[in-house]
Amino acid sequence: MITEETKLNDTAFRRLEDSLKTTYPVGQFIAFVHGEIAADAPNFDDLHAKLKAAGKDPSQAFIVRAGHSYPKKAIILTL
Amino acid sequence: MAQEAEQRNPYDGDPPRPWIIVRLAGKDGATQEFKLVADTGNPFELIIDATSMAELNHGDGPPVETNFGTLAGGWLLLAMPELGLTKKVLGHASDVVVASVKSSHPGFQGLAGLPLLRMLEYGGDADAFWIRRHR
Repeated sequence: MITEETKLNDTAFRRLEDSLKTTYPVGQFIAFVHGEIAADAPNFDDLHAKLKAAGKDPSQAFIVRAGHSYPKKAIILTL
Repeated sequence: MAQEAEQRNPYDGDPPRPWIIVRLAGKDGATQEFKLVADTGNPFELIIDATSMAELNHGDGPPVETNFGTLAGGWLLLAMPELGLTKKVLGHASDVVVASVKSSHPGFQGLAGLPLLRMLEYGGDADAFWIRRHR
């Protein structure tokens, strides 16, 4: 499930994570493909449309939202 | 499962666990239902198995390291209009987590965490755990 493409995009996202907060509106959907930002949009469907228009497969894109928290580590208290 | 505005489910498993049914829609619009342990100690919306995630995800998302190993991220489409849940959320995949919940009951298919439960109203009594549409 965690492919080399995922790792590449995650590394790129982590490098840019702080700057995304000031570069994009909070909540903006941002897609990474091959380690680079490929598209952004205010909602998921528009993001998918932009990726398709650019000839990219939306289902393969790495997607985050500007200003949202994505912890690198977490504890699951259960089980 | 009927599309009711409230789910009220008797506890299941050993030890008894609260659980809910979550319906997800794939890229082709086909839906699948998952019997998930409701877990307020889980900081993620949903955790399902890797195969289901591969079938149902609408895009990749950030992985995360946990006390159950690495969870892969993927965007999942909630398809529960009866509960007001028709949106994409960042879910996670972990066969380790799913195996752990199955030790309580083989019918369990993952976890529904606090962020998902907070999209609803939820509670329980001696006999059952319930969720209903947020008012």
